[in-house]
Amino acid sequence: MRETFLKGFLHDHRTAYLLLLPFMLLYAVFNVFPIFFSAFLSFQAWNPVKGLGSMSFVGLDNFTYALTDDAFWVSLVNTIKITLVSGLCQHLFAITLAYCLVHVIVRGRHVLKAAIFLPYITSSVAVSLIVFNLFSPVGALNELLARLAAGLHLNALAATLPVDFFDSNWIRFTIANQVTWKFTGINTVIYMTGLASISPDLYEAIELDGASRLQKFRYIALPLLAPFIFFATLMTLIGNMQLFNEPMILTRGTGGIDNSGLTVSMYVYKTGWSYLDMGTASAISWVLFLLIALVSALMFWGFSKRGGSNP
Amino acid sequence: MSADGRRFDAGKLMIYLLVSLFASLSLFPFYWSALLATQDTSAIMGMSLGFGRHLVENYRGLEQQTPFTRSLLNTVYVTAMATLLSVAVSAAAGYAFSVYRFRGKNVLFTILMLTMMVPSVVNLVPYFFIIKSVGLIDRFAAVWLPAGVNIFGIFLVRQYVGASLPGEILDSARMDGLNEPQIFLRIGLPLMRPALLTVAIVVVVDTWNNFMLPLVALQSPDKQIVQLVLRSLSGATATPWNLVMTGSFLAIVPLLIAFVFSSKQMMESLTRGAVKG
Repeated sequence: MRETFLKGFLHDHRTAYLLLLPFMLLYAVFNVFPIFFSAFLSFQAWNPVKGLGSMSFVGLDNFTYALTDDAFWVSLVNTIKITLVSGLCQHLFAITLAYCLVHVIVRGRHVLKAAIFLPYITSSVAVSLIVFNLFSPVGALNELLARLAAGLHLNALAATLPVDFFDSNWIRFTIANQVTWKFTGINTVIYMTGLASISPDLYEAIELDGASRLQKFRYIALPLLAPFIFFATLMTLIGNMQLFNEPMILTRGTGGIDNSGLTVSMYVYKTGWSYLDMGTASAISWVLFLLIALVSALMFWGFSKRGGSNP
Repeated sequence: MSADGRRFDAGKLMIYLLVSLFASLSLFPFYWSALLATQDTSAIMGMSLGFGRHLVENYRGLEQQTPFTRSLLNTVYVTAMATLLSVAVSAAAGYAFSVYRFRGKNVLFTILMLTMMVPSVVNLVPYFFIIKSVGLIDRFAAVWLPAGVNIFGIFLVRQYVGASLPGEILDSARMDGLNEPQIFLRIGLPLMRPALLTVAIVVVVDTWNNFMLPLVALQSPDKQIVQLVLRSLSGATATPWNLVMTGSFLAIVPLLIAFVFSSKQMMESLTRGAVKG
């Protein structure tokens, strides 16, 4: 027994490294090297069209350029606004829906859950095209609002129609709306898992005290969901801060009128591929990374301070 | 919940209505794109809510303006390659992490956790640099090769093997004279099938809908994937809505069909996969 174990152990290393080799190669090329190269590039000026020879050290110029560029700050404020609005809506909806689906709805639970989840697997690009159609000034949403306004004699509403949901006032709303639509479902499923893990005894105990449906939610479900809320909102924050696909399509790659729909990831892309300034693009991507790390650290700190258990 | 389930419960009815409304709003864009994909321009102008009979005609129209079928086939190819690679690489690496003790294992694992937190946009410029340097621009491999780096997949396989493959089985296999690679192939791989299915589902959905890497890597018109063709339609006001919606609908429909048949499995897998951030 001992001998075979030893023999196996000696073989272990060779086989282990062999099995790890394909991953390590790809990991080095597509993950490790890019992180270092990107850090290196953020201190270089590089126009990719002019080739590698055009690379030159510029110190902190890329950072000072980006941080004094109005468009960067606009994109950051846009990203934060969209993240907060869609994040808040997603999680309020998801917690409510999850509670209803687990504790109230019996018949049709799976179908309703699947329907709410479905947007998560759809292509952002394809859905953006559908949103173009539905939300256009001559689209179905404006038509519906016009009929409502006429039917209910809402003159104030009628006067604002048709709404251009892609103008500088509305574009962030339109993006946040689509993001909320897409991600509410997966958060609902995460919260359903959380609710299912709560022991029914706890509900029974509070039921005996005559607690209402709302009180059971407030005093049992919500506190015990805390680790799930922490995890899910953290994922939403990290994901939304990197938002790219929706704003890219909904503003047709322009960032919208006065950059009203520009996000930081889009700003990185435009800087690199439209203005051919890969150094600044790298610098901004690092600023975004640091911001995300900071926000995550703050959330961890806040959650542990609140006394929540480790997620 | 309540024992008096037969009594009329207004609160419960409201909740049913509310959740159904949400579900309808979730489904509405699919209905809408399917609707417009079957109509002709006059029906769309009239905002008719009935399905038409013009799907085939619209598809032909779309095909005349864009390399749609070609791009759809390209997407299938890229998705298949990405999934095969990702599953194979994650299976081997996850198994190695779970079964073997080797030098630097814990350090490596911590590094993997840390690099998982790096936003994809940080890698975007270097990614472009790499594929340009090695001549992968306009090659599909530029899109499916990076799928081999699936840290979530490694975590999942490692966890799964750790929970379902006890050391005694490995030891007795060794006593039976199987060598290490044989144990991996004959005992490890079959055991981790459920974990690999989860990895595959996550990669299929991610790759099918991937937009950022193809946008950077695929430039020539005959090397398009479906998301890029759709994107080209977003700027083209000349393309009629019925053709655009036909494209959107057909780009969504493959995953939609898969979801109808395996919604439970897909929801479970994708929710786990959400951890990858």
